[in-house]
Amino acid sequence: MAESVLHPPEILVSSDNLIISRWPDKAMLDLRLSPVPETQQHIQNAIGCILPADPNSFVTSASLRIGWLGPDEWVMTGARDAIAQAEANLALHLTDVHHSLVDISGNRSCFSVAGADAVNLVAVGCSLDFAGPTFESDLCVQTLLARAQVMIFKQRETQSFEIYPRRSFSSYLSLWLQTAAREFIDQGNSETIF
Amino acid sequence: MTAPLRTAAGDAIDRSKSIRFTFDGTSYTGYAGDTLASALLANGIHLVGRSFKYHRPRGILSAGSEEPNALVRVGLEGYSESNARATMVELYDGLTAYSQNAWPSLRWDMGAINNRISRFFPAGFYYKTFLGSAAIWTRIFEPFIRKMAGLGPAPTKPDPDSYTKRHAHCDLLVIGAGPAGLSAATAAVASGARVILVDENARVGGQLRASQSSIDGAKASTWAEATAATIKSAPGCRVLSRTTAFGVYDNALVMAVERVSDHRGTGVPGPRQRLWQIRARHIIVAAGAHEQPLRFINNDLPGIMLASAARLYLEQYGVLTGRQIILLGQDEETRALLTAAGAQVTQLSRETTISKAVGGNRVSALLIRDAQGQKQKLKCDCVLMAGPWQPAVHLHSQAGGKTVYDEQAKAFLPVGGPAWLTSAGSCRTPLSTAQCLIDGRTVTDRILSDLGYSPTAISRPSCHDDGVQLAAEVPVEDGAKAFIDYQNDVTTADIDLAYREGFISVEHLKRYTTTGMATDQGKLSNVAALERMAQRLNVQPGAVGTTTFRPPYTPVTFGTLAAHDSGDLLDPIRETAMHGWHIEQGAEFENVGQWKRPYYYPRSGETMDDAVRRECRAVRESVGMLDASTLGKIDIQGPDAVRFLERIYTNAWAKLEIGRCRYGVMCSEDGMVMDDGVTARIADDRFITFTTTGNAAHVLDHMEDYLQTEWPDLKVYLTSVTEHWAASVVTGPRSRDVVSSVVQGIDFENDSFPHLAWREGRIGDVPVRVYRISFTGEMSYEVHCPSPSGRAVWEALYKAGEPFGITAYGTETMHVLRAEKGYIIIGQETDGTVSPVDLGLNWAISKKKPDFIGKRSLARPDMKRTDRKQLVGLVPSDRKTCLEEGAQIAIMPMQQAPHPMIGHVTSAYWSEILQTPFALALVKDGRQSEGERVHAHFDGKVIPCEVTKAVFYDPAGENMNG
Repeated sequence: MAESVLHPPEILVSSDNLIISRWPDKAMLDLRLSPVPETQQHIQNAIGCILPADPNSFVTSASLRIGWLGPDEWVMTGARDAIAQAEANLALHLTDVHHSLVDISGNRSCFSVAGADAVNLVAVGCSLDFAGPTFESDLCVQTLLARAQVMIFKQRETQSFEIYPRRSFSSYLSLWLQTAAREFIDQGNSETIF
Repeated sequence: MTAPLRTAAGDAIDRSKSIRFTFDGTSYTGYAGDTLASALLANGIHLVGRSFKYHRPRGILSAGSEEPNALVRVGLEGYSESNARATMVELYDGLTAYSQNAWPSLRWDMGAINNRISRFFPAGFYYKTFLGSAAIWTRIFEPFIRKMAGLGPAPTKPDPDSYTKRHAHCDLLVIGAGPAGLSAATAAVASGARVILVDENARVGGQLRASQSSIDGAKASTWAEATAATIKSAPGCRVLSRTTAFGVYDNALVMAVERVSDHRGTGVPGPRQRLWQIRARHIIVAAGAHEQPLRFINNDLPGIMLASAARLYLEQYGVLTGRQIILLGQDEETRALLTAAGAQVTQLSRETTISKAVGGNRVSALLIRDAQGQKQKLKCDCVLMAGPWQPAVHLHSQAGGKTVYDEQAKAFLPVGGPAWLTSAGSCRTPLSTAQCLIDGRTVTDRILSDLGYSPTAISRPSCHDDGVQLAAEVPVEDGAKAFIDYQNDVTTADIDLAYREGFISVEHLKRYTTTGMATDQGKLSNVAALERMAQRLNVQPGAVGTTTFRPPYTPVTFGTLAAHDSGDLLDPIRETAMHGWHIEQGAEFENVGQWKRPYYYPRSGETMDDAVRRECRAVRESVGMLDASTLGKIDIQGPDAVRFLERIYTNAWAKLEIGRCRYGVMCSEDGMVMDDGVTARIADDRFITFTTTGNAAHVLDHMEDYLQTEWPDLKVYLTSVTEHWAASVVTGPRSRDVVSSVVQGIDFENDSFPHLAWREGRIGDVPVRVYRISFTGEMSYEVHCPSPSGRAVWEALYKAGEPFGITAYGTETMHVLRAEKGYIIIGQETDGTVSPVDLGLNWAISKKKPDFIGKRSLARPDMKRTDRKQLVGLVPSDRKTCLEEGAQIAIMPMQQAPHPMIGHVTSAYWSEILQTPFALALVKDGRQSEGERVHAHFDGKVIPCEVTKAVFYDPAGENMNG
């Protein structure tokens, strides 16, 4: 059925300065545990890297991206089989550790926003500072974009965003992104901060 | 063709670009860069409107955002905007402007009769005149006042413009790009700070735009433009012109409106305005000061204006405001400039007293008494007032800062306020241009070290200091029509009246006389009103005090505040995975929080009643399907999961086996029902809990709150999986036939998969969890699958049900069916004052558990009262009339109010299976009243009903146990 078929992203907006796409749902795990050193060792053994300790950061391993959601909560995204593999390995290595590992692949939709005006577009609806010096790193934040609760991954290198609303907000956010993008496309000129 | 009053000067205008515009239907010409005010003045037009109350002819008083008089309507139809300040409207080709508050014409206005009979309209006349009954008020007084009051009509067509918002962050926000602001921003930028500089005008410079000073060897206005360009090019910095910072909020949040395309005309691409939400580490307010008018009789005649405005019109726009000018002030430079431009300028000696100004639609002379007391009539076509300068303390005041009155400055100066906001330049105290440049720099150097930047060594802008311009001291004769507040037509006589009648507190004064209200918020009137009251009270103006300034500094359109949050984006619409299917099937939707849930699925020609009856029949007789994806779902894991559930819910969980489900009730600490739902045991240390749709987030917060703050010792983790699972309910006598034909890997025999059990299976390659839970009283299977497959699973089940006439049903049918079984709905049968005992759920309250949330409250004496409202059923005696939710219940029909009521209806429907109306109700001592007759009151009707048990259909539960 549909779930196992990989779809290409749906391009919502495409201009010189802004590309907005909706991606097929990404496989996702929610991991909760206390990240004491022994546990981090188990994690390292299971998936080849440890959980990021810096608030609102993310790390990338060969096949996974792991975002910090709270002092005892992380999210992992990746291809379906990579996530399935990680789930099995973690379950194996964490047998003696109090934890919860939940498949939440259906929880959220995924949009990407890239281009010179990506930062400006997100700033239309999000009060976080993605342009300042404190945010010059890979970020994983939970916040509001317009009126939808979202999880945002911002890649430092590309200054692009992956935005994950709860999937029931997908239509709303899609419409909002396209509406908010108009000012950057209408003017036909890129307005960048840096 | 050059307009009659254009000179050779004008920094802001482009003489190569002529622009045509109309005012009150007459066509005029101006230049690119003009404001509507400067273009009208260039054409010799001072009369632009009629005043609010007395309909007196009014002209252009200022050259900025403080303008109280020159309010016009610009644009047509949906683009129409009333009360636009002509001084801030930039000219564009085809601009259409109209005067306001005048009929039949601006020059001959009938409303001006108010001026003749003005002694009948003193301050507070509303309160003295419009007395009487409420009926007189609504029928006579209010329509009359509505017709008379107000300036300009509201547009009648929808606004075709688009608006946007932007969040921004900086180390330093500088408000005002005059000498102090530019100097401050330059120093901050040089030290590497992130700076945003905003200015409300089209061109930066503030008073530098009208200055003869030279800075660093350049003309002041040229220096300003070059400096702003340098700031703009610095990394991470912005200069926003045409941007008004209108509100300061806690922790240095500033709201500003940028007029993106107002100056380009209507219908241009892109947003019209942008709302900026700027979070700064520090704010420097360098908003300058407002020159105040002088108070003499008829000081509101067109042609009488501020001296600083006349200079700005001359320097920026090359416009002379008159040919025969009387300058009320000692400023030699202004005199020289106006004279050089071709005007004949008269200055009064210090011994002269002003009696009054005279004129019709334009000032024609000033009557004075000279030093010897001789009356004189000085002919003129323009009077310039050089009053004291009042710092723009509005933003400082909004942030919580106070003001003190300064005798020498004759102005209120800012003091105190939060650590994150500093006033600089003439916004702080009267300063010369050179002093403003120094002040901006000094203030910034201090702030930068606090922000962790090293103040830069760049040299200060050099400028000759020609000292602070002092206000004119012009003695005037007292009289009734010396205007204090131009926009609200408040005169010195009104202030005096307020004093005589005891409205001497500054807050009373404002509300009684309306001085300082309206769109200009008293920028040119507050000080004079307070000084007048102080004079009457024989105290210093500081002792009278000031009212608090509140946002917005200048008016902001609703469109800008709403921006994208309008129309389809007004509020998010949450959709389930099956939403598209529901739409294709023609479902009507019901809003449940932000969710859109199918309400019912009408077939062609069906009313809602028809559809619901059909859906109810289908479920009771064959099989129906409901989208239950919106239910909250919480994954609970950990060795202490059972202990956790035992404390959260009123009932017991320890003995629930893996593969089984149980209904649970949770209370708040007050013992009242908070939520209910089914919980299934997935593994020894893992459960999934279902919550009601509306309470999903609240219940998760409640649980997480207890885990983190009350029971940190419990080893339990919670994860929201609400949106991970889509849920299709298949219910009815044929539900097993449908589900078992599609779902593989589950033995559906009743013995191996009984009611209140759950099993794991699959449909194709989609893993599913099937829960045998019933909210209809029929045999029911809830098929949960990962949301991306939600629609496919739904369709597979629906297709399998077609041979049985499977019928999709919505929330209304769901409500009817559950009510027939007496199942409660949180928020319908409960309202935060209903306990589980009141609902007859005693069986779900464990007597053995040591504790659960609400246990102690349930033991209170009040909970044991027998006359608490209890859940019962009602059946109307005529078996025909449906009751209404909220209907009040009394034992006997009400004869006369007040009448004792014993309860109210919580749910009321028509039962298709029982062919009778029925209701659930909360009735005092209801369970003891079974079989008795009561009366429901609603809509003026009195319906006799019988009290029954709160279950109407299949009380033994044979159907759902199948």
